[in-house]
Amino acid sequence: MSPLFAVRDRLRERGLATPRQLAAELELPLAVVEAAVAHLERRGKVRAAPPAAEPGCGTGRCGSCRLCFTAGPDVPWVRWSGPPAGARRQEPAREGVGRAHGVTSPALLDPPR
Amino acid sequence: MSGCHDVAPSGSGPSEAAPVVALAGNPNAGKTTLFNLLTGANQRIGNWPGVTVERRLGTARLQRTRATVVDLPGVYSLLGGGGPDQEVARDVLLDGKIDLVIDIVDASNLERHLALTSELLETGRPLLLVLNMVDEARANGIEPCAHALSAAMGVPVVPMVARRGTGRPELLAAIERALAAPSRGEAPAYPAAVERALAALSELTEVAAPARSRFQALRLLGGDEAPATRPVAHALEHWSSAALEETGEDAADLTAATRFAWAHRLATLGQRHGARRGARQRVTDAIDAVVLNAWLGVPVFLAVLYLVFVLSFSGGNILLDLFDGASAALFVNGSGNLLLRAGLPGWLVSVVAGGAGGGINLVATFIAPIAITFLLLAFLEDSGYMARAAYAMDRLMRRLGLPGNALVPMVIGFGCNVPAILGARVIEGRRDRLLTVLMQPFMSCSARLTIYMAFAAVFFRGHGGQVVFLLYVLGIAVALGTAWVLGRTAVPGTPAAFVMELPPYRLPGFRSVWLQSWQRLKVFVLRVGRVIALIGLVLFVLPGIGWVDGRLTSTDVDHSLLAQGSRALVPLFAPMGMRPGDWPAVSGLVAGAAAKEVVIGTFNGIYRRRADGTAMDAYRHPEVARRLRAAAATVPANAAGFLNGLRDPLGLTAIGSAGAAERASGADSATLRALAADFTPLSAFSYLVFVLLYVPCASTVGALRREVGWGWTAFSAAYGLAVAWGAATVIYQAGSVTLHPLSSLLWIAAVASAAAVLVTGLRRYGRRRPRRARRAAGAYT
Repeated sequence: MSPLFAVRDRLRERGLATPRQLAAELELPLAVVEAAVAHLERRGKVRAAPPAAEPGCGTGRCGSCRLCFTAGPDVPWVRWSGPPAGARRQEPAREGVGRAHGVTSPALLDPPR
Repeated sequence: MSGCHDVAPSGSGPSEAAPVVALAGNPNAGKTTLFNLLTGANQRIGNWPGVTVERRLGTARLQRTRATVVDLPGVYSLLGGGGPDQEVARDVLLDGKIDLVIDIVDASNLERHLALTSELLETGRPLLLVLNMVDEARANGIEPCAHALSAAMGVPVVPMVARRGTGRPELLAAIERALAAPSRGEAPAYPAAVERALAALSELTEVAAPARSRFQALRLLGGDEAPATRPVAHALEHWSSAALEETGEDAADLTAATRFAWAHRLATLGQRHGARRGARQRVTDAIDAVVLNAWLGVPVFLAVLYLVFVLSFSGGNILLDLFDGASAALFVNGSGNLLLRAGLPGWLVSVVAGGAGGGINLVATFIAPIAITFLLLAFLEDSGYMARAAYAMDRLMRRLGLPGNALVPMVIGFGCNVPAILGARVIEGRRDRLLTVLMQPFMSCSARLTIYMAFAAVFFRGHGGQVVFLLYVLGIAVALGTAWVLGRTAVPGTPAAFVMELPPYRLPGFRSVWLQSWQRLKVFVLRVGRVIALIGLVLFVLPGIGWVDGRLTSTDVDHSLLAQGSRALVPLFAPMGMRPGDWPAVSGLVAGAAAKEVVIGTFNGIYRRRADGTAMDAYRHPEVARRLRAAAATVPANAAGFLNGLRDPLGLTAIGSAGAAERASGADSATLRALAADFTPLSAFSYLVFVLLYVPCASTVGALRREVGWGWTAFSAAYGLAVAWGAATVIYQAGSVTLHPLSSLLWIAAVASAAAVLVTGLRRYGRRRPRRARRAAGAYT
């Protein structure tokens, strides 16, 4: 299976994950997972999910809880926001030039290795 | 002008009939290192993405022929994304006349880098793959298999360590073979439905070049580009639906997934994983846990910067008097004596030995601390830390309305503002790029470092490093503050995602660090030094001419035209501590608008002119040997002072009188001694703050105009002047508030009111004229 689809399917299944988790589970290089997430983000199928999305975070501000302090510069959660498994939907072509291919914000992702 | 600018012209121009070889690859793959290796050029390299923002040409001598080598900015994808720098690479790779593309991939990050390779194969151009950094891959427990990769791809593959030159002969031979017998390799095969869609859409695009039309079709299918015409829109809808029906997947995902799968298969074939990966990764993770930590990252960066300048200044101090005394003995007294003996008239001896020789003396004095600064900065860049500093700053930057990679040009700006402004092209968003460009003039370039060093040597000898560090930090703070204010007033918006890949940590190679430092030092000594020496010569003559009794005639320096003009401007600078007798400082500022290094050249010319009478005695009795011995004798004493300074790193000397400063300076140079007499430490610091922040130099103005247009350039100059005056005035008045409390408080209140008026005006501009602001922000590419 293509790493892109592997990342997509795992993220769709889990709903919320960090690229580092996905890389470990799928045994893929982190940089490849980040590139896949960046593609899915461009396609509108995933979005950055701040720690507030986690039930454990009560304040809703990144960096304001101990989890952020221990996890790194920013907790890089990404949330699946595309259609559920099995749904078929054509994505409309979007206006303008696409964003950078393969890399994205550290607010969203771990540092590539 | 400017001497300080290290944007070197392209290497030797392309040969008429020479084949053209383009270097392509992801950012930080080692393209410029390979370019230098192939062409013998010395273009700047760095262990971070975005060092190259324009294409460069050079000539490589192969075994039997020559080839024109084109170094391109790093690019992640030919499909789009990134700043204008990546567009430059895409234009060349898709439309340029190229005989061979050398794709440089990082062997330690192979699968990620092969994504671009898959696209390069789709262009149908002859390809040669360079598997760079195989040493780092091996250190990570990855053994690259070049033969397997070559067999699977159908193109030659050369393993290399470009920064060490390992594999160069094999690469030259491979280039020669590839030019004689091009290999186009095998591009990833898309599903049949996608290929049909691509063929149909390619035919509809109005592009002649086959590679460009295929990539335009890919962009349409991938949703990266909107259809330009109704027939294209209908075709896109039809073929996308057909692909979805046939495969159950979106065509946009299918094309990307095919390339991902291809890269994954090739990476699996092209490398074997060993057992050492974990250890290296753990070390990297341990370092990153500190330097990238949300709370520690920025303090660590500031601490590193502090250490750089304290070590540079304190370490450089050991040799500062040696260079000062020895160069004065040789270039001023020695050359003056030789010229006198040659029978030259006294005035000519004074001009050459005092003006030009004095300028050389002044430049030589600061070689040691500046060289150490460059060495330490090059070490940090090559180690991979500077990219992490940018990453760590991302949180702060985004809060200020900027992407984190705005720090990359800022760090480049420590060397020179011009490449820093050009370096902002790595930033994708136009608004972010405009803000980043407007920040650059506040970064302390190496030309300004000369002025800091001269003043620090006189007024802050024991703690010059701290003062220089403070000025650098002030520059960064004003740059960030500028972005923050503009981003909330005149150019509102939100920053785009930070596009930056972290390079691996490396133990910097001696050759690489030395080469980078030497390039910068050479620029300083040759270009900056030449300007200072020439200006010193001109300004040695200029203060000798004045308007006396209704005619232009020779006069003493204090009645010269230069003095009269500068004295007229002194009242403007009175609130920042300048007195009527400080007109040479004003002359320096006026001349420094052309080039910052000219400030010191101006001082040199004027002060040496004043000291001309005593200088003639020194030319007649130069005592070169005795002066050289005395200069050498300062080294042990300064070394002891350096060790004492380590024991008292934060000691702050009392801000005293000019007399105390002169005694403390111990400076041998006539210029430095004169400086000590004309300033107090407080007025000297205010003056340095003004020099740091006021109008950008002529070359920086040129770069600004090129990148953001005349309107923003004029704003930048006026804004810099206002901020410099305000900051210097506040510092001087706050520092001397006990002497004249009422007037000091009034001045500070006036500056605060002016700042409030400025912010209000900017906010009105941003609110009332959003269209105009947007046009202005987008008035560059």
